[in-house]
Amino acid sequence: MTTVPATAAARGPGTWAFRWIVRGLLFGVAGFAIGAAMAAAIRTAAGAEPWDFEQNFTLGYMVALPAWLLGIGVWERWAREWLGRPVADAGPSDWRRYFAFTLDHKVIGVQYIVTFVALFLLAGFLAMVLRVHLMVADGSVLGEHLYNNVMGLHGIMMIAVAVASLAGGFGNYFVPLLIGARDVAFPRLNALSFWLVPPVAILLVLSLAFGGFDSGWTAYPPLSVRNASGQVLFNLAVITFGLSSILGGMNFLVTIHKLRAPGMTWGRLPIFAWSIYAMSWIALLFTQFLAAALIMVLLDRIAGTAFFDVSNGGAPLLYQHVFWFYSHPAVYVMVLPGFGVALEVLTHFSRKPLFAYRWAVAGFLGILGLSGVVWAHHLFVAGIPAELLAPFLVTTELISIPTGLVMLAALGTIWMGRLWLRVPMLFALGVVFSFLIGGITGIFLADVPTDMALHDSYFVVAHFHYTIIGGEIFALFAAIYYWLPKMTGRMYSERLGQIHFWLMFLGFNATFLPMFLVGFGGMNRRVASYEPALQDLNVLVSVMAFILGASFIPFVVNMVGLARKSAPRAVANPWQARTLEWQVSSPPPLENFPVLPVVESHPYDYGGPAPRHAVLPGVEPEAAQ
Amino acid sequence: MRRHVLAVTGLWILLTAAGIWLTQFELLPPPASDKGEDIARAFRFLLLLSVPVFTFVVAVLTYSVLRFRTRGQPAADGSGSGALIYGRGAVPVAWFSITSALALLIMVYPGLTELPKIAAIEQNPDLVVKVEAFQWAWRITYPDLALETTREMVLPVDESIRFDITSLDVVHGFWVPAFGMKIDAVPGLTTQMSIRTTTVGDYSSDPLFRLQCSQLCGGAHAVMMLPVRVVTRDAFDAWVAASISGGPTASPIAGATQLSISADKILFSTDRLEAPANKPITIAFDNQDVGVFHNIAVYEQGGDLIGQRTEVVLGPVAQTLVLAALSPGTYIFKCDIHPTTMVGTLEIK
Amino acid sequence: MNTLETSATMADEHGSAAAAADVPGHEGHDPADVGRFGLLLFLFSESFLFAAFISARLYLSGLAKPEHVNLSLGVVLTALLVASSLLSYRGLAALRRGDGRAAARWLSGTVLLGLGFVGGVAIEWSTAEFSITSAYGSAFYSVTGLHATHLISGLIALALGIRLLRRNHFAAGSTWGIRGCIIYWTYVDLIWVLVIFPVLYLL
Repeated sequence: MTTVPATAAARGPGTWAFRWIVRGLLFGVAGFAIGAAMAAAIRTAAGAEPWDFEQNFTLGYMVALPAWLLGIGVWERWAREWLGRPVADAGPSDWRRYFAFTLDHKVIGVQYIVTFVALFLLAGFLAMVLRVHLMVADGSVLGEHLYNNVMGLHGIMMIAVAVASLAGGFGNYFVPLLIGARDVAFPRLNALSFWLVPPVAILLVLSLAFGGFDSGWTAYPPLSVRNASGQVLFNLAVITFGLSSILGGMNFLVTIHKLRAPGMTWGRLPIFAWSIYAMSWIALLFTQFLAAALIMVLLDRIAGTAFFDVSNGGAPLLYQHVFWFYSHPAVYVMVLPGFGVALEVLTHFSRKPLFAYRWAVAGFLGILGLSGVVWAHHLFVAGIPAELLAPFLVTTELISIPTGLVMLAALGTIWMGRLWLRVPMLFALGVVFSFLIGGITGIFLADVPTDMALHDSYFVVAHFHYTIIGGEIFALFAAIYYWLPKMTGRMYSERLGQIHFWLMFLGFNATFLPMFLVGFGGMNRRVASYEPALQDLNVLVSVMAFILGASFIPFVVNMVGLARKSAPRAVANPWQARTLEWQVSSPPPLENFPVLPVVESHPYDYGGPAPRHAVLPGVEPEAAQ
Repeated sequence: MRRHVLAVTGLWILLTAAGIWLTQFELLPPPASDKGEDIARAFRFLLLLSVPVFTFVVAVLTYSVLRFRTRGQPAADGSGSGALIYGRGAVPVAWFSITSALALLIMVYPGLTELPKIAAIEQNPDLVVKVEAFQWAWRITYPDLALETTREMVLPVDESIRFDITSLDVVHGFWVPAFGMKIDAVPGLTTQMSIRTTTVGDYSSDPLFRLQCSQLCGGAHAVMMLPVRVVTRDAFDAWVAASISGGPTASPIAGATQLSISADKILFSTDRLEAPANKPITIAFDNQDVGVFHNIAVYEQGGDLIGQRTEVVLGPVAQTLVLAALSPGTYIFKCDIHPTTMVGTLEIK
Repeated sequence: MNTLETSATMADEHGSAAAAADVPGHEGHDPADVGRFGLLLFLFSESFLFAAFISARLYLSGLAKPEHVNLSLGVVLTALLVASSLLSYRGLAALRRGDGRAAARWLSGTVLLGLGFVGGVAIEWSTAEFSITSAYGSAFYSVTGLHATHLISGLIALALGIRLLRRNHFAAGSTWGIRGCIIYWTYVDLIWVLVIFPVLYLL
């Protein structure tokens, strides 16, 4: 893709692309052996049997993780410095850098996007398996244990996709470009955040070999303290993923605070950068609570603590409080970047200024502020003290107000605009429609009385698929179709993109609207078998889900088509958009801008008095093409 | 501009009328409890309120897409002018006020006004039902009637009933869809739910009359279900009488091997018990730990429970575990609350 | 590839990245300023981790604590940490004067006191009269363990920094790396003195 200056030519060993990954894996295995042996030695010294799977595995992993990171490239590019030595190796700079520890935020963005789109397709395939299973009522297809495991895996993988695909992928690639920076504030930390992800995937898959985790992605104790050892791998995986998320959030915050180009005031910050900014605060702070909750479960399992052990003074509800203190805000980690992308695309493709820009930003910040005080609505029927119900009912209803402001910005922008209905625009409109249903059904779950009836039923399943698919996945595809020409320098097939959108949009609604009815019919969530009376509806849902699944075939074909030599080239600014990323070549050069841009006006002033958003001093506009 | 506003308002009214008409079809199944009826009313109110909100957004979306789209790339930018194009001034303020008012409205009703009614717990109900959840079954006890069952939950109609719910192992959820409410069963905690039954019903004719675990609890979560019957008072009394006379009693089993074990300081008195094969066994379990929960249960080596487990209760208490005849081999007995420290082997020879 | 200015913390990363020839730079931005902001954000985030465990302690056992909490050992531990921080500020002052060797000496004192603190925690763990298998014990051991983990990482960072100071490594460039270590150490100290010690020993 990017051509690289000759000064930074590939150095060092071989031409084998997976060299770094293989070395990381070898280091990881060696580290694991050392850690596990240490655990065995400690246990022997304490007079116990040397081998306890969960203890030895945990300690082994705690050594294996840094060893893997050193192997993948932290050693050459970072750790040598701590010993006063020069960093040794620039790493590959041709296409092989996509498989290595590299610092360019654009490469890391691509690494995130490819990884998480692949993970999305895989988790989507698992969803198809679940829907095949649910076509019969008696749960005979997979059996209970396998169903619970596949369901938990689908859940946690999709959560990871929703958390990291837009923020990690497109945030990394485009926030520095949008704000006129040459990279993120901490490029090496950025690479580290990404390379923390492969161990997560390995652990989750490995967990199936150790009995899996049958407690779902929420992993409530005491079940998660006493089920199969696969749960330990799950906890380690999610803690690692959380670390990646925290470091990523910190990186974005510093980048947006400190590295904005001259003239890029807060009031001119593109809305996608604003959404990443609000998201980053949540990721930075609240993710620690997820880590804490999972560490407590781990300690109960391997260290003998009694956080959730009732007979020794523990309390299972403690977990639910700590867990949801992160996991509700996590919803906004997923959907805030989605809102950002949707508003970004809507304004460019309506050829109008972003309506009520300041109100939309206030909406983001309002969501950020309220996100920390609504968690207990997940506990309305969990047996919390009755005095807690009313305050959390109030805060949860309040959060609909800032969300409404985002809706206002979307509607105001398209109203009286000149709507150019290309694929990204269709997906952005899909976000507005789908999240609307997600939001309205959320009201029923925020109000305690109705929640008592609907909680833990398929109504909830349908609701959160509307919010997450509507708020994040549709936005993810809007982002892919919007920015792909910039990233690859090639143009995909508009026709295939349109087919993808319409199949996905119709399949999605046809799947999840009937699912509300399944919930009203009294089907509880996470069940391998159900009442035969509900089978007809479930078959309908399954068939529609297959259409939804099939909608990704044209997407994959379209993406594969981009790799053809004959794929049409994309110009620097195919959408005639005003924001900064479109003012450089497609794909952008290594350091983004030949000279640092100077921002002159608001990014979305279409039809306004300012002729342009920013200039690259000394560079003719044509040169970018 | 005015033309567009009028058109979209018309579309909105049209869609809203259609939506309101659609709400006549009941979504929630008919409730069989008083609180279920309150909840259904609250649901209906929210549904009616959400119709105009939903149709407003849909009207603007559809109208814009149909009316303002261009073929190919737009030749010019922008439309309208001043505050209207940038979204400053009155429009966002009005929007903010209206959405805030709506949020406030649903906070007050059905939220805060209905909440005390729904959450209220009856101190002197007509019937108290004690519910214990464990992996993966329910035990229903009627303390006033000295009756317990794991086969079905039978309740009298038109009476106020309070469920005292707890769990013996992991978190479960107590949900009878017909009653329209649920609450979790949490180990170490007794949660309560009060309702008044309003309709007779029976699982065999209506699957909503079932006690279903609503919180993922591992392996057989999906089938952790108990049939529910709501019957007339007479039928209920008859069922109680029949259950007491014909049900299992605590009389010792003839010819059984009698074993005994006690618990003290969170330890069993022995970690090894022996019994001959092919004879029933009774284990007298004496929990001497004051204020500590214990029980006793016997498992296959592979981990499968054999027979029933004794109830997890606070000591001091004496319990008896009755086991059918076992084939020779080694079995595990343990306290389910302290499975790692209170555990031993049962040798059958 | 030129020699880069150095530190043991992650927070210096921007500076060195900017200095590397093949890495995009950020002209016009002070690496120390960027690094400090990142480090402070990270520490703010870590506070949430401690907050989670502290709230677990309060949720499970309220203000109750066992009778035999070793308050005098706790006071000694607190004193050790405060003293270690004071030494690190002397090191900082020396660094500002450009006297790297003196800074290394003061910071070595910090490391010694830090090691003493770790030893004290080890004594505490082996002599404590309450079990880890209790509500208070769970919180006590996990919070002190978590804090000790942070402290040990700080010790490693400081030790690496001292090694580089002795080699006069910071003479040429920015001293941000070693200053970052001191900020981190101050945080580990503050969280103990202001939060952990009062909540575990005094409440």
